[in-house]
Amino acid sequence: MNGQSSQQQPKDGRHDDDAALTEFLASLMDYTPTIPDELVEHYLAKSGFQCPDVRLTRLVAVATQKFIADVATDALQQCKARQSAVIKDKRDKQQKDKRLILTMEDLSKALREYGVNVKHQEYFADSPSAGLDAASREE
Amino acid sequence: MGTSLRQEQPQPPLDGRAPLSESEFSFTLARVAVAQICQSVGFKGAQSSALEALTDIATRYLEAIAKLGAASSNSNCRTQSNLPDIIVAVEDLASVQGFRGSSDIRSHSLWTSAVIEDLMKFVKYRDEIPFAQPLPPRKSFFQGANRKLFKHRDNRKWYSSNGGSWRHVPSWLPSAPVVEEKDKAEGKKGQVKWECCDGREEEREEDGRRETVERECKNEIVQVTGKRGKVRFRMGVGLSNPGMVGNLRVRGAAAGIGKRVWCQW
Repeated sequence: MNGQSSQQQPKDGRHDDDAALTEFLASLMDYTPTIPDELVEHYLAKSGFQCPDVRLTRLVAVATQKFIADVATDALQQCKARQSAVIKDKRDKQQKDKRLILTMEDLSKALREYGVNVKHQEYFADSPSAGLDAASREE
Repeated sequence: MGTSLRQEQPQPPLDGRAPLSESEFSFTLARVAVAQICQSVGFKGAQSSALEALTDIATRYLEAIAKLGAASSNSNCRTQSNLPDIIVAVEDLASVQGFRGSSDIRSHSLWTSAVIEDLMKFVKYRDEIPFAQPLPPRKSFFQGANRKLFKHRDNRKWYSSNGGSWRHVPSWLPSAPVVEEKDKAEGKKGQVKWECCDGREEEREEDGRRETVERECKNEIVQVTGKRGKVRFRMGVGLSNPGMVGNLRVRGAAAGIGKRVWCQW
């Protein structure tokens, strides 16, 4: 891959982008990502990635954090959409389900857009009526 | 079904008493971070299976960035990755969804990548959420390391946390030779001798009559007393002759550069 491809760019807008990127990297020194540096370094070292610069470690941490936040936001939208769909159902049930909880079905729907296929494990009900509730809710 | 995020967090055994394996430990820590991200987005709780799946994806994403970055740097004949490697890796992973400018992939400037602009906005507008659990100070991770190293760290230190013995080397192997730091320091006129780079010591010291020749093959020290006679050089002669090729380095006033000497003992 061409890591040096940027060096052949015209110099017109280069200075602004360069300055913005430098400023961004400098701001990462003061930024604390949710994923700790040590944890990120552990996973990076495990995969053969070597870089002594803590700013780049944090850049990776921020990229991961953004990805997870995007997935979680999509899952939250799925959750809200699912709950607004069943609003005509029973009142007490709606109250109970109003809590925003990350579930597997919302997550798998959200992840489908990111190229991750999450398959549920087969669920065998012990009684014929056990799985009906969830199945009717999905439709 | 749904439990609170607070209850979901297991206590990480920071005191080291619980026998968690390394991958389990790191996964547990990552789960706390992912739970915090979910909470910041607006979730009030999570199924443990969903949280574990999301944590799994987070760690795989991290490793994917690392692998793509390392591959990118290796294909450019480097061992250490730099910023363009990471940008290329993040762009590759974002190409599933697409981003602005991804149609002319690889021809646009990496500095103006839309992915990086999104990251900048993310850092600018999102609140910082520090990790929930108390983090141990840096010292415990890098034992005996200088505090000045913290800003400029080396990933390789991670492997040698155990007093110089490498973690990934089996214990039955003999210990690795120690690279002498002082040799690098005493390089003549600010030059570093190339022998020091690979840890082999092969040097001839000359102080008056005593000379010490340390050979790399058998690691034996030969004491040579008295003055040496003339050494004759024969270039490319006697290749079939079973002799010994010593790589002597003369540091006297006579010659400042190393010479390959054909000599018979």
